[in-house]
Amino acid sequence: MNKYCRRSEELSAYLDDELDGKARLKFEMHLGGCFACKEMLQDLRGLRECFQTLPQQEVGFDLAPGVLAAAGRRASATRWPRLNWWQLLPVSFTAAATISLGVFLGASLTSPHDAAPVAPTLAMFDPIPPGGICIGFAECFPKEKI
Amino acid sequence: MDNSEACGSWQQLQDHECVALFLNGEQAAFAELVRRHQNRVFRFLLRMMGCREEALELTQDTMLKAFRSLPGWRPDATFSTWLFRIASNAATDRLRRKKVVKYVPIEAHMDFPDPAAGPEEELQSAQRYRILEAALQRLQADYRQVLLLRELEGMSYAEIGDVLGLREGTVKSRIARARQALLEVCKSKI
Repeated sequence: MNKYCRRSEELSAYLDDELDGKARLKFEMHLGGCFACKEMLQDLRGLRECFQTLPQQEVGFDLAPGVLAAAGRRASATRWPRLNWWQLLPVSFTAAATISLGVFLGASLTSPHDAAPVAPTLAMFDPIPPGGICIGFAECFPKEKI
Repeated sequence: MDNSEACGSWQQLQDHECVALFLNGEQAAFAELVRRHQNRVFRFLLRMMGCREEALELTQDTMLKAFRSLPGWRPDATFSTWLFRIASNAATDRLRRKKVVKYVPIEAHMDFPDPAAGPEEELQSAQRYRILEAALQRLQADYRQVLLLRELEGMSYAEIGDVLGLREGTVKSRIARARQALLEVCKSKI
């Protein structure tokens, strides 16, 4: 395009026959006196002709059997048996019982009684080994017991 | 229509009738729809992707998606428009994943075949379409999409709007810009 007309959008729609009667008439009047639009219209027609020469490639075989087989495979892979609510009751009870048992066992294992270590258990970590000589009265006995 | 012998009596039916039969459990009706539309969808995807294998894979995916979505489909558009909508979304998704949706102006660095290579008309015609194919591949994807739907599928602006989820005004301006971009590249070469 040597020159550019700002009505190129209308020109394109004109080529596609997408302008209504009034707009088409108005544009045809403009087209009569606009060299840029005339030139571009010719170019666009040439381009359209060129589109018609494009080869019509084909798949070359029937896709339908493959598509139906794939659809069937997916359907069977994702199909779950439809159960009524009463058929799901045993499963629900079992799940609830398992969860309750888990919670109970977990709670009993982490009760405060077990969590707090008793003093004798940690005796081996004392600064003075069992049977060792006490360097001073205050160090051997906790203050609150004095 | 392809495979006319295999289609048998299904050939007589309209798309919407085939859809209705498929929804009543007749899978052969869907097979007929696939046969009718597979080449059009394939050609569109081939020019969108630029690769035969990928286009074939996406055509199958499109048909499979249509098979699964058809029970919930509301006929607010024709079956083919709906099918192209699925195909167009599939192509856009794939191109986005490959990160080849480029928004760069097309012009320079184009390696076109020489249009004056052969004296015969047939050869010239072959050269023209190769130039056009090459130019199309270099257009940004959204321009390519509207042009293919308009020039090759012959869809109206309203139908293109349905396929791409755009307003008619947007379709109109996008087609005009796409043509202009294509002309700028091809004019001296076609």
